[in-house]
Amino acid sequence: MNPLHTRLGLLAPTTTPLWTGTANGAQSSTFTLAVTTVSGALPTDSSGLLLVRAGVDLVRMKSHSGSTLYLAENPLTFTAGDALAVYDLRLPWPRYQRLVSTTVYKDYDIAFPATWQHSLPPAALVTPEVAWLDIGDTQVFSALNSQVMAPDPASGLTATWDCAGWGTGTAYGSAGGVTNCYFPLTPTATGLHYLKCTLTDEWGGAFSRYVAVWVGTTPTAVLGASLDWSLERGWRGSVTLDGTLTWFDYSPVALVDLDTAEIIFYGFYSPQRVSGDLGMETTEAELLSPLNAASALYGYPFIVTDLADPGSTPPDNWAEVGKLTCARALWYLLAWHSVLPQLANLYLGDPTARRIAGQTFSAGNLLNLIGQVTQAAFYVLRAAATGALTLEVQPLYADAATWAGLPAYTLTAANRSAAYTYTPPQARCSEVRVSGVYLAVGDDYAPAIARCPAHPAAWGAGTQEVTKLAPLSAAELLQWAGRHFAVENQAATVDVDVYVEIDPSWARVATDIPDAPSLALDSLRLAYDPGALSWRTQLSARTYSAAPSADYVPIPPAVVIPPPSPPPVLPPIDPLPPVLTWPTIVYVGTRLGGIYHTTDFNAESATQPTWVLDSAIAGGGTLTTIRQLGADPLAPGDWQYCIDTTSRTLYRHTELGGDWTPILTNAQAQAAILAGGGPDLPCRIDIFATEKTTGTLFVIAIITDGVYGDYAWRLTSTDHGSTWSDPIEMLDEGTGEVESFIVQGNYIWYSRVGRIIAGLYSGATWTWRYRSYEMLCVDYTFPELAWSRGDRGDRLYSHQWEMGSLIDTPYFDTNPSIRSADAMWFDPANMEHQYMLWYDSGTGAGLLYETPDAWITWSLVVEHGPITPGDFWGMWPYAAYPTHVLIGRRKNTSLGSVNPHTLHIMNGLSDTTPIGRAGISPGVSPYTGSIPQSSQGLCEIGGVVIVR
Amino acid sequence: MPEYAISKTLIAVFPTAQSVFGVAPSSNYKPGAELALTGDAGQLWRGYPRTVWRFKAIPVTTYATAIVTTLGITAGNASGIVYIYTRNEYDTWSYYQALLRVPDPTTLNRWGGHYLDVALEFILLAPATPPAP
Repeated sequence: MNPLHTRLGLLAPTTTPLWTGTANGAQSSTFTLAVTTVSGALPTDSSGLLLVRAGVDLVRMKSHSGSTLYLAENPLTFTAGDALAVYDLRLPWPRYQRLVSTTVYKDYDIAFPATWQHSLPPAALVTPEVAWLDIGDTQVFSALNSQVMAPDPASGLTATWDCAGWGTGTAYGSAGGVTNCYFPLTPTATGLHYLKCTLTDEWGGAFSRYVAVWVGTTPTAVLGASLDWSLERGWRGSVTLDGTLTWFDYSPVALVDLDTAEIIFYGFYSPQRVSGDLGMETTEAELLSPLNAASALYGYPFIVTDLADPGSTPPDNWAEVGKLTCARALWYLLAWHSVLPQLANLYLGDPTARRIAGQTFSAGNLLNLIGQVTQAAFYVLRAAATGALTLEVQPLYADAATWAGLPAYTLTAANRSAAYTYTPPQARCSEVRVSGVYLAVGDDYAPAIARCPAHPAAWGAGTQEVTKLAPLSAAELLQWAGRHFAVENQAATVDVDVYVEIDPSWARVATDIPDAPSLALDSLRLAYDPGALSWRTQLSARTYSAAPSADYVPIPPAVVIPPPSPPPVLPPIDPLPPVLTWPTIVYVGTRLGGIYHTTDFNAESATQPTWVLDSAIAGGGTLTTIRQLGADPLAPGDWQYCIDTTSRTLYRHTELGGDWTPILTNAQAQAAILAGGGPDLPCRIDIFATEKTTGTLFVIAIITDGVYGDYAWRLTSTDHGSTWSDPIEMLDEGTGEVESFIVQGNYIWYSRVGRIIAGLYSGATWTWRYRSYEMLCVDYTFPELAWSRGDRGDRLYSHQWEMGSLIDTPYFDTNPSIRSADAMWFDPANMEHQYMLWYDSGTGAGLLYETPDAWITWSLVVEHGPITPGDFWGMWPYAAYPTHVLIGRRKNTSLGSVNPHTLHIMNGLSDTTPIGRAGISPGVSPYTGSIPQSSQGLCEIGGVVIVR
Repeated sequence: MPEYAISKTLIAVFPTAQSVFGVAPSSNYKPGAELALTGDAGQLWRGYPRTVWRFKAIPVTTYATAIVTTLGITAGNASGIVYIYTRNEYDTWSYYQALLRVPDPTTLNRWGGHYLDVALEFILLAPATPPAP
């Protein structure tokens, strides 16, 4: 393409169906559909073809047999007589996974293959990857760059080619380890067709690439166009067409140069607007490259872990990958969760390079999931205009020798505009900390942390942290620390118009611009000028500079708890009976009714305590919607804290009946995060936690940027919330509110809906598991260990943090009648001694269980009357007498043997009739001395503080 | 001396512009649509070559006959492919295929039975070789 003289056309999708018919009725629960043929015939391979219902609804075909169609999972409702049509069009579809109990299926019904190597099929790569031919032309296609992706191949690949019905050719040649790697295609029929190339490896694993070939197609006139490329997101275009196309969303199209018959963009068509004026219509449409289309595809979360020796211990489920590497993780993601590798080449480099211990894919669009792999090694997927994606190191993160050796395009002064803009570097951080895990010795992984510069820089205001990296060695991590600092602080930006075609596959551009002799390409913007019939090309690039010295950060040593000293030898004495001392001062925060306290809580007395509303806000107003209430564990009577659901402000309270003082608003949290190097985005304070150090307080603030999802940031205060600092970005897994948050020693645990997340205090290393609800308890004497309720309410899990990963152990998964643990508490004197209140779905009873040995054995202590799942909100043992507990209620409903109060006391473990403690007549207005509970949910508890 | 000539097809001998429009034009040839300055102080043309023929006055009836009958551009169409013989900026005369952008008659300056100051713009100039006579 000569950007100075270009006439454009658009190759449009096929609009004639291969087959038409009608639906015989509704589709089955497994998405099979019986049909009656009206015209045409389906090809033998109908996988991936487009089925259109009633001319509107689009579904991906998976296969067919006779008059039965097997469809991809879809939301449609078919009825008898629905008009159907199948087109030879391949759209960029997602392939959703499905979880049935504990078994994962890919693309709804694909179980883990019996031959485990088939889970990593070969990467089929064909060039040219799109073509525009005439009948009688001959174009040789090549598959010699295709790769074996499964570990330990002993032989290469065999290619088979299929153009039945529209072309001829005979495969030949053997190169690059691929037999029949060349195919001379001679088309015989006009229209858009797909050349199918199937690569098969020695284990029978196969993968097909479908190459779009337009034959004899007359392009549609293009009135205007623009194309944008960025290193992170690839190509995206827009066109204005004369008239309208017959189209389906995301149909394949190609933009062509009519002078050279060159395809200058291949992607998918997404109309945005049709305008009519004076009888003429124009259509404005977006053109999405395959990488761009990934941002429109949803991906559900999943995890893959490395199996070091798959030959002897082969993977047996979808969560395991033999000899996992970044390339294999990326291939696994795209091949099993989308059809993109069938439509575009994915060059992954050496699939054996850069072993990783595992890869977490959180929910989000597919582009985000790709980023979760590439960011681990500062990789990018460099996109070509014809769709190909190449995995490579972001050039600015390459070491100096590699950078110098990258292929460079020389942009001469004659080929650029006289005007340019040079933006000098801006310091963005004074220190960079990077951390990750690398394959150290044998198949063992080791953590490492590095920082740059070795001594803090003068300017930059804050530390940037990059976590979850996958270096080849500690030395590479050290180099990355330096490169990240250099990129953030030392890279100048150059913007200039160029008059030549610059292929963004050039990693480096050499220029004559002062102070910018060598640049890494960041973006290109091509705007088509329909008056001049030429492109205006704006180039934006950054300079490479040497990194300052970096240094390792020592890995914090494991916390060693010394064994207890032997007790002094004393003469035996008769044990005294324990003295029951219930608390007298208790605070209760309610979801809708504010905060109450009582000073005459007395479990032994028949007299109800007197509750006093204690919700006044300093400066005016009243707290009503309490999300969380807690206290300093060492001085609960002096420092109470709460978060209200409405404003998400954190308040502090220091005396009975005193005012609640706001100590952290969302805006203040945002400012603190920004000051610490985080994004300047609105945030939401979700939850706080205290630690057993007086005055220490932590908060989780959630940022949702609307593009990439959530970011969880932690703020710390060591002065009872007066000042906040030390913002650290935590693992941003999960959605919804943070349900539980515990900080103990060097360990942080928190849970969001469906996930439990754990990390080290420094924020350096994080991981998560897809199984937890709001209930999370941590062993305070051994904080690497936590317990939670399971993901389906039918089991419990313990979680052990070890070397940056979680080891999970399920419990109780064999008892189907136990559906949900409502509350859990520990004996303060012995964390292995725990109690759990269950709901038995068989009898409806509340079952109190006890374990004396950290879940090794359980025994039933007492059976309460019928309850409803979720009725109990929490249980609080009183330190002076741990078997006597306060029980918080979730809803104001009848509880069988448990009377309908907000708060109850249970006098010993054998007590089956807990007594309500919500004041006198809590259900009768005006509720004097009571916590009112006249309306549903009014008494639902947001927190309880036991003072003394 | 060479004369401006125009034809709807690539033939051996083109009718002169004077014979088609009743008057000979002057021309303004440009190698592209616009000029850009390069970093080495050079100049670069964007777009395809184009030329504009300017006529002092064309009889109204002659104009309509020339466009529709002689050049074969359907009445109401805004453009059509033609072949011209014209000169470039160095006074080199050549044959070209071109896209003629036809002015709408209602936009022309009419005086009596003539259109005044008519500009015919030929864009997308591509060299053409007529067959031998």
